[in-house]
Amino acid sequence: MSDRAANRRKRQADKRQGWTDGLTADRLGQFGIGVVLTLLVLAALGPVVSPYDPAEQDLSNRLESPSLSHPFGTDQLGRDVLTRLLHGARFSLGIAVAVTTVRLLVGTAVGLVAGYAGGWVDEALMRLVDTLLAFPGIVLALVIAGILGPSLVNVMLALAVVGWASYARLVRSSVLSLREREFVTTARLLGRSRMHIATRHLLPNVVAPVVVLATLDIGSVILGTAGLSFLGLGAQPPTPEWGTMLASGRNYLRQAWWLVNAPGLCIMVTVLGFNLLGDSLRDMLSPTQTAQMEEL
Amino acid sequence: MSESLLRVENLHTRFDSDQGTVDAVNGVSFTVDRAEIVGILGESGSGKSATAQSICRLEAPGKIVDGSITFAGRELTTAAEATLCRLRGNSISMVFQDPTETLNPVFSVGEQIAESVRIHESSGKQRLLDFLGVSPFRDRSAWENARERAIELMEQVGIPNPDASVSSFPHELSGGLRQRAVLATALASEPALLIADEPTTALDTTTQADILRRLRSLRDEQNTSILLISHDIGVIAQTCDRVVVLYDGQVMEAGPVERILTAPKHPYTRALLSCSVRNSDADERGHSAMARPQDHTGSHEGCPFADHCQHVTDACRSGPIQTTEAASDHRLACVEAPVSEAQSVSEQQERPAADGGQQHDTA
Amino acid sequence: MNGQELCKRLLTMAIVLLGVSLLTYGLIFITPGDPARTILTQQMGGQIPSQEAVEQFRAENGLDDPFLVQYAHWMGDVLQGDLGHSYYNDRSVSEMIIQRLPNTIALAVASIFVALVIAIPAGIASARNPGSQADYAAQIGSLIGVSMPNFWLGYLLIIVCSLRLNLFPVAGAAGLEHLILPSLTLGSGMAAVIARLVRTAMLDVLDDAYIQAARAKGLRERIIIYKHALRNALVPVVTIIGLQLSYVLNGAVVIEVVFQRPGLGTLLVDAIFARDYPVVQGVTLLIGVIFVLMNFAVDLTYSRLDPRIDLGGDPT
Repeated sequence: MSDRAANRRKRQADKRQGWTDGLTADRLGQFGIGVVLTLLVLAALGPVVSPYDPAEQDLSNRLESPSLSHPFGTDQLGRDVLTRLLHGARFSLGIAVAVTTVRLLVGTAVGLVAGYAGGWVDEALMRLVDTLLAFPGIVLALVIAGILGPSLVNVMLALAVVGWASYARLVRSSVLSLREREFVTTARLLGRSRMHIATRHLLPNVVAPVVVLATLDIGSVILGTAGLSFLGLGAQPPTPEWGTMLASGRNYLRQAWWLVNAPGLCIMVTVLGFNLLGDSLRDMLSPTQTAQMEEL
Repeated sequence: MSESLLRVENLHTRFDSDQGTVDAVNGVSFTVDRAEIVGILGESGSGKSATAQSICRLEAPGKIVDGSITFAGRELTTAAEATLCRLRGNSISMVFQDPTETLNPVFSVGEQIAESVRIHESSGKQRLLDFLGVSPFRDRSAWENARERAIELMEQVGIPNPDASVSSFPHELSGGLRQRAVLATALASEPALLIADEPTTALDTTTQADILRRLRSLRDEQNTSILLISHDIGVIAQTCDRVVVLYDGQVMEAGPVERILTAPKHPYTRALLSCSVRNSDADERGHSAMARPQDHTGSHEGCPFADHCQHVTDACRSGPIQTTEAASDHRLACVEAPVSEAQSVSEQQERPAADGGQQHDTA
Repeated sequence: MNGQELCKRLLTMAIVLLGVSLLTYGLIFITPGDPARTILTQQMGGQIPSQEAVEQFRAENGLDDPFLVQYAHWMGDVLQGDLGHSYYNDRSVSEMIIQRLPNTIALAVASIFVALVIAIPAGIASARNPGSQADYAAQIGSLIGVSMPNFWLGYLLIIVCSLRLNLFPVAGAAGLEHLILPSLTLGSGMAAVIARLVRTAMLDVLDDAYIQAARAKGLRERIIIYKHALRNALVPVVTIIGLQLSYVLNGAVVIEVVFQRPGLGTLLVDAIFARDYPVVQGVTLLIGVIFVLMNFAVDLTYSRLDPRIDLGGDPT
């Protein structure tokens, strides 16, 4: 009984803290920012600080286990895994940011148009959005990238094409609620053009939730890129991309466990960093915007 | 007084929060005899609900820090959870204020009443299977019986057309019907003590009168003891035999209803009564200029009403107020107690409110 | 439930399904270059096909017709249950799908089962003791689970359970033992998301007055939690399981490759690399249709779980 009493007390205290999920959100958010900044630095400096050349083969030192000279061991061609991971950070972050940016721009534009124009334009765009969302994202991206042919650019294109729909939905629903607000009505009464209203009055108000969605989305883009590369559709073997590295390591599970685990760990930490960052950004938003986010 | 069904003595229930400690119930004592209706009267924040919850031992997140609660000779403050589970719903039932909140929205009212019927009948394994609603393993005939009984109970509390309403969901019923369903749930086990916490506050006047009438007939016909908690003097006057007036977690005055409500001795009771006469509207009364219990964090000595009392003296603040007996069954906690109505008017002019040095105890 | 809302839902779903089929069929037209030539080159093992061969292939497969005519042909066949034939071995696509489908369904069902078995108790334990060690452990576990690439988790399990401990076979789909590691892999990723949601939903529900009322009835804590509280917390949980179907289908593709399970995922991936378009179209269409229908089914479940929700209405 006293146990339960204590728990309920804690639970209520916990609820008051809101969305922190019990752990202090600040600390986790800081951890997320730390991870993301470290990755950015590594991606920028990686090629400079890495001890070897990522393509340098050394067949006499194949599948060497982790040691001081090779902290993450060497792969089946004797290349230093750490060096390749450092170079891979560029790919992962670069692709993730590029794909997410395209998703964000396309989705925001479509959402603005659909929400503000209304009528058949809205109807048509939203059915397109529905159709895209009717497929599991990776499956559709897989098919598109596969038909376009295996390459990193095609994977990026495919991921961008399948992913903008949720941004469009978010922006459209924000616009619909903003459209009736007084400052928009006022602007309309003042005879402002539609373009002016859309870009000067509506856009600034949807930026915050869209940015949060993008931060949370980066993680899934990284996972998606790695997954498609793992399946053999993205970067092709000599490229030190994390998913590709993991895929080529799978033939050496018995002899060289580090070949799948090192890139796996890198992917996980990166995604974790962005997820934590996104979570704490979302917590900083006002509750009404959070409610909209949760529908996604 | 050993024949009392419920005996609460010097009960202290404390709530700890980040902002500090609140003594919601601060040394409350009273008894409820068999087949007696006792009212607890007080404003919101006076500790009425915390008292009721403590009796059921559902005071969490609060904590009983001192005192004793004896029910039918059994000490509840130290009883094991299993014992309490057997008592709750079986010998002690509770009706809460808002029927919209107290009925589980996803089960039909019939199911919820039947559940109460079944709780103390079946045992162990079967009980778990039943309650998880795993239909192939349900003891069908027992549930069928429980359903019959549920319909009977619904009829008894005045739900029209119970055969049809039994499978309605709470949101499909009106507030009054919902509260009747809650009452049916509470009566399922024919409890010895029914605790009703503001049972009619959320209802309209006609429904309120009907529910109160049913409570009285319950006492008359089945000898059920009832502890009725309300902020509404009218409700208490209409229903109760005795009344306990609470303010800031302490008993101000207690005694037979007709005496307390016609000839109150405590200044707080008097203030409460005069407010009630002035404003008939319940909402307005809540906002009345009269002193409302402060959100006291931390302990305080003396009479909690002292800051708002017209008759305050230094003695009121200097230490714990002794409870005196104005008559054999009329207790009150006031140093200035026997002030008469006439005196109070003149005193009001002579003595300005509080002495300046004393800080108002606002949290 | 009201009939008008249901009709509206069905109509929207029909439009979405039409879009899904158009998109699926249209996909092969984004192929760079001439599809007929690409396919024939593949079929002939890299040799450049003759112009006649290409034209004959086009005519045989109706690739000369305008897009909408081709689509109408294909759709007509699809509606009769004919998804066409593989370019390579002339087997019927529906037959290939039917052969592989049970393995994928088994994986999906087992994964959802694993996810619920992990997530519900973990979420409830978290919610009942917020701030406890168990709560922190569950939350950190779920953060990691959400961020972990599932194919990596698959290999981790293979390394530990199959190669080191020799508990389970590495690959294949012969029996139940082949299902354990794949469903653990896919299920634990899902469990991470669901546990988090169960926790939030339970935290909300546990402070509701009817929980206190259930205690006052004398119900035991276990029954209060699993009957009264969980049932109310399930509505948001079912929503997320609906969204998680996308995770299941996405994941199944990758996990089947990791564990070399002959299922829809491996069929799709193989067909993509072989440019076997009828198979790609057939599987994609099926996955799209399954996803749409399942989401519709989830919508229908709401009103059963929460009697206050009318189909299409808002939940208050």
